Amino acid sequence: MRAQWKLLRAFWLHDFREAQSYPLVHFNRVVGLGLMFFLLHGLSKLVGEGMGAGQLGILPFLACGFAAMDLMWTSLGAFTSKLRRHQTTGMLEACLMTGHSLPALMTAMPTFDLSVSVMRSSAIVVLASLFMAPAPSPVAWVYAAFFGVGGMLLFLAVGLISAALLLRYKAGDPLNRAMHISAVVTGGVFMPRTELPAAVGAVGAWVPIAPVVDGVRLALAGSSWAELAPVAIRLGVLVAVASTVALFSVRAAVRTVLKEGSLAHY
Amino acid sequence: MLRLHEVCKTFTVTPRVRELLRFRRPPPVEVLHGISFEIGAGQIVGLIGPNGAGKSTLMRCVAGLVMPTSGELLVDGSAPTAGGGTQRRRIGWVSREDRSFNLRLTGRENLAFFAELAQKDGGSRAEAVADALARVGLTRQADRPFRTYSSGMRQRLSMGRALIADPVLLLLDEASTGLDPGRRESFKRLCLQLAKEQGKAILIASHDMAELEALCDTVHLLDGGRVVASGGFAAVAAAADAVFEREQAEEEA
Repeated sequence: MRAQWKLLRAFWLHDFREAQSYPLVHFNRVVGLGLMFFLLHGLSKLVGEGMGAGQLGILPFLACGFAAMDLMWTSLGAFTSKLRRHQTTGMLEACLMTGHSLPALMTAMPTFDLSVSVMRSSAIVVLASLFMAPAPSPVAWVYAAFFGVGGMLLFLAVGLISAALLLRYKAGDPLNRAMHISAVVTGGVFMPRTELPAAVGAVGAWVPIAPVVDGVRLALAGSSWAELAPVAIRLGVLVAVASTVALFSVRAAVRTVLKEGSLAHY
Repeated sequence: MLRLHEVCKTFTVTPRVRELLRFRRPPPVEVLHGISFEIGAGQIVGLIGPNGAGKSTLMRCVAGLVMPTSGELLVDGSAPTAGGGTQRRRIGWVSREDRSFNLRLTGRENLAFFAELAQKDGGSRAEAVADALARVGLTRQADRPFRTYSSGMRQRLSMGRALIADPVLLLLDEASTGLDPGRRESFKRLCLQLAKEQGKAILIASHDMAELEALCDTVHLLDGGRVVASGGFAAVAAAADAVFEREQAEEEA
């Protein structure tokens, strides 16, 4: 456990130092966040309140969807892009020579990108909550954080599956786009699932992003734990399934690339 | 320290769509055939052979980055992939790949990253990094970004990285490529010091005959994935010349 923690820290510091070497990197990130929020605010004014956002209001509704989308997007992209980069440069081989297993390295590589995404997503939700009346209670924030952490675990597992596919098949990861499209169209990210045909809405409830956005929105709207429990169970089931699939797919992919000798070749 | 017994490696080739449609599979490529030799503590062993002879694949097998198809390969009594890969920490690897460092970080920061991965803690990490930088003569340039390094300096930093975890076996895959004549001499001195004074086993793959002659106790000539000659440099040099001449004649024909 301590070794894995040190590994996470090493990759985080490595990427943080790299980010620091670019001038104005943090300024640009803050400006980007401001622009994003400004756009969401403008969009919510255009859409108005009559779109089934419920008591949450359209801006927090959109902000929660966007925050979950950002987390999922970063998880799916960061695992595969880091792995690909380190494969092609030979850094992956150099890291393996330090005595860590490939799954451990794959898990640690995107630490910095994920931490930036968590901060960005949290900031968007917190900013949006300023426009809520009444403001969410401390308990609501705890519940929302619970769904945020659960969502993070789910997206990490899906990101690892995506990386395993990349490791095995080198290109053409089928999961990435499928996840994005299903999230946008049926996951209730930008449009309430109640507005969709019943069958599509029911399927959409099991799209990985759905219980995350549902949970955070319901929590911020002041729902009780009894109301949140069905969503939490749905999230738990998805986390369990995705983690199991990730474990087996990563193991199989690692075995294959070691046999093929294709660790360093993309 | 390192023992190879009848090590073979065959790569399967991924079929193209055209081949899949015809239900055909490309034939596997046999890269290594029955490689057997040993390296004891303090020994320097050289690998020589034409391009495609299997030197780098053999190095990767020893490093645990590629699994042999058959045969036995032991580093200090264990397979290099043993313990979930922890055995690799006992192996230092210097490849020709100089992009395996982060271009935006300094030489010191790059080494500190690998030292942290190698489980070095705070004080010992800084000490190990400083020691590695001093050994490869990069102390003065340590705080310059890696992107400003010349190819020779990059190669030396790669050597420094290999030394950080104090390995028992060093694998040097054309490690002196890009070094100027003065640095080549320093590189040879460092190799001799590591082997003779610290008892490290060293396996060098190189096309530089003079380097192999100066360093190696034993040289193995690889041709078509087989060891075709072994012994002292003088004994192998004539066979190596014949192989290189044949390769050149085939290329010109």
